[in-house]
Amino acid sequence: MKYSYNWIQSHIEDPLPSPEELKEVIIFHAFEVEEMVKTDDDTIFDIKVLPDRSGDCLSHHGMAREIAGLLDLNFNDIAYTFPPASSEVSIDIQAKECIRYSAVRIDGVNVGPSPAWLVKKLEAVGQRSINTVVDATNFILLDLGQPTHAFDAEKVKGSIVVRYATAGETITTLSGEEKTLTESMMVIADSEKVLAIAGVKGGVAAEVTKDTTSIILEIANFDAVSIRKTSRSLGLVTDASKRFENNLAPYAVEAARAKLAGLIAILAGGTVVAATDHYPNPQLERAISFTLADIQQRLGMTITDLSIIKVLDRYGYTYEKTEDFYTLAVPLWRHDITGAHDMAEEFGRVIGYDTIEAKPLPFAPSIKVNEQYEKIRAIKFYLMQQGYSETMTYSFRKKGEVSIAYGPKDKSALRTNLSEALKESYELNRLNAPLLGLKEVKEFEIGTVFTEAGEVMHVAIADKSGIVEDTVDGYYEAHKDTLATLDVAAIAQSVVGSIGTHTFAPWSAYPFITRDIAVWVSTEAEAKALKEIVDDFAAEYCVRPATLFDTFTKDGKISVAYRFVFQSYEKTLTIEEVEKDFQVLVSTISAHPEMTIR
Amino acid sequence: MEEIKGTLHPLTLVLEKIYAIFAKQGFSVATGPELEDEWHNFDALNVPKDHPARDMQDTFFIKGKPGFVMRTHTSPVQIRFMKENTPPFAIIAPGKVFRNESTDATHEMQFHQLEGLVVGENITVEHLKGALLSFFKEFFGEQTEIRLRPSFFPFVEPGFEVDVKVVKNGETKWLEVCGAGMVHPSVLEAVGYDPKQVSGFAFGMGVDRLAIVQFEFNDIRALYQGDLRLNQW
Repeated sequence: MKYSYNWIQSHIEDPLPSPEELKEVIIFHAFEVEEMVKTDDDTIFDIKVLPDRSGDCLSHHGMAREIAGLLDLNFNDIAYTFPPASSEVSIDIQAKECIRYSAVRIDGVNVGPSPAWLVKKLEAVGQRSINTVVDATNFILLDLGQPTHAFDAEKVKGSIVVRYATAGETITTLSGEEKTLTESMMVIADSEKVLAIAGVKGGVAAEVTKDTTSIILEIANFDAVSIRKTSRSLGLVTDASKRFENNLAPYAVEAARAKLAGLIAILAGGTVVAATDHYPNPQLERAISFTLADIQQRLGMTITDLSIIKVLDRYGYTYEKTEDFYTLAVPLWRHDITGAHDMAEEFGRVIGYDTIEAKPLPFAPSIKVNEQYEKIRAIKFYLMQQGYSETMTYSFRKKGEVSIAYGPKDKSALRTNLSEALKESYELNRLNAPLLGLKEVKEFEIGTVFTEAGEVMHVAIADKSGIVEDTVDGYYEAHKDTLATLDVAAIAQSVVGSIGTHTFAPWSAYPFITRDIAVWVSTEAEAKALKEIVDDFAAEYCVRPATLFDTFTKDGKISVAYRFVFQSYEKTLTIEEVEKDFQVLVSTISAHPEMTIR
Repeated sequence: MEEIKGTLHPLTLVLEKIYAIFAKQGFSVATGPELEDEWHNFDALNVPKDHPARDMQDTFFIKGKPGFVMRTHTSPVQIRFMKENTPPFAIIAPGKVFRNESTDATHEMQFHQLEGLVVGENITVEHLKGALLSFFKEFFGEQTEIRLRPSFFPFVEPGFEVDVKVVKNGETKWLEVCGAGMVHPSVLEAVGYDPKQVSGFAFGMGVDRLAIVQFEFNDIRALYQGDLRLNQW
């Protein structure tokens, strides 16, 4: 979510540190800051709040509360109270997954464009301004994290009903999409029609427009799992559904209702004429207990009662300490704190993980050999020694016996064998053999294949005689005499030792052209001199070193043949261009009387 | 003729390097299926059904086989190993994992992960730090440092992102390469351990990502094209 530095500051009495310092504090003690953008008079942070804290930190108020705790600043937690109304809004709560439903009717509102300060505030964090009433609800969402909704009261016939949809019932959402509902989905309705998908999205039926003069505000709380299921099955993830599915605390309705009504009075005028709050099972305060030893044993850091008390006080948490036990009244907004292990995280991150020392394991583990893995290693090393190169292809294919639901079209099934993809790979590599400096391509893949019977680890080997494929177990068994005597440890050591430090050289997407040259020389020294010429030429004009592909001796003379590969990273080379370069080599060699081009 | 020996895939090279380092510390290798059931992939790892944490990993589901997925991480191997073994132990679990996300130069629908798990008496964050620091020092060089940042993975508490400070060509960079944490008591309970008796730490790192850092690849997709021009080491 995007957070404004100024907006966070508005919830904290003491001055915040600079945006740069604040960013560091957030990163090392709470959340990942994905982006920080400075604007004319503000700084916008994009902070990644993960599911454990999405219930309390997806708002400026919640983020400010966390920051105030981290930095020991005074949090400006205004207790908004809602004035009693003279009459009730008629509501009928039939769905048990509606945890709390608060409704407020305001008559005489004037719906119009929002003032500049509000438009600016919303736009700074990526929210478009719509009108005073809708902007007020969006402001409350971003400010307090509580989703709210406004209905045009004139368009609501009879009571507001919270019920389950009937199968096939439809709604046109505020974004103009028609959605067909099922019986498990909670809706907000009146006596005639569906007004909104509860906790997910409003509908057009009771939309607030510029002509609206009377509104009913909904400030509610719904069951997290119910909202999640509805949101997922409709493919409709909204700012509201994201908050409800993360266990938003129902106690927070109170402050949101008061602040929203107050804001609408300022922005759109009107009078509160009725209000109702259905909250049959108020949220209970939970308590957890832990000891200093619980925290120390998990973190292994030096932590004292003093530092624990300091952290608890900074956050303003209520707790008691009797003998060794701390009993913490878990704040209503922290649904994620369930036991001592969660408190270990709280103390660890607030005090700082950098204070924890690195230590070796307190026991000496004994190695248990994984037979399957060792077989695979032995086969890989053996094939490598036989001149085969390893490749990896996708586990997905177009067709197979086991299919993927909702996968990409060309990769919608799991491979039943390695051979098909290895054949494609072999064809590609065979064409590229000169680029690879290979006379003959030999390759293999080891990987899992999937059939109706289950998954099996296979090995497939390709060379000019074709492709053979077997299970790893079968292949190992067939080559057991060789494989079992292979010095895997020694090969592994040399493999790891030979990993070069040179970086990846990307390859050209353009075609290559090869040229061969065969030269007669008389002595080994002349052959060596020729090699130097050839290497220098290849280094300057070719994409890879020259390959010596043939050599023989006849009548006391030595014939040496090299292959050169020409390729550009920028374009397709023409025969003429290659010929021109190649002539450089021809004339260099021709200048040596002891070398004769065949 | 020049004798041409075969080459190994860069991921195999990186995995061999990792294997060698952890074997010295006494870690065993554990493996598990790539087509996994939801209980091992999610539920036992403290990710209940209909929980927002399931969205943290876009999942490939199996058609006509409800309750089965392509494993989204190597963490289910932890569960399988713990159910069959008694602490103390230290394991690594290398393997292929799958995510249903659109691919680009830094994202693939299949990639390799390396899981680590240590369970025993009195295992703390200190030991997690010790094991990872000595691993990364051997992998990237003696001047390597690590730092932990708070993060969230449902199967650990506390959970961390591990940043590694790598010095390469005179340049210093902090790379985000590993997630880690103390095994969540619910996970220990799910496999029949008593969280009062034993504790443990777990970590997971992207092998493809380590290969990219080691070899400076510009495109992760090159790893699975079957193109031998990739085998440059």
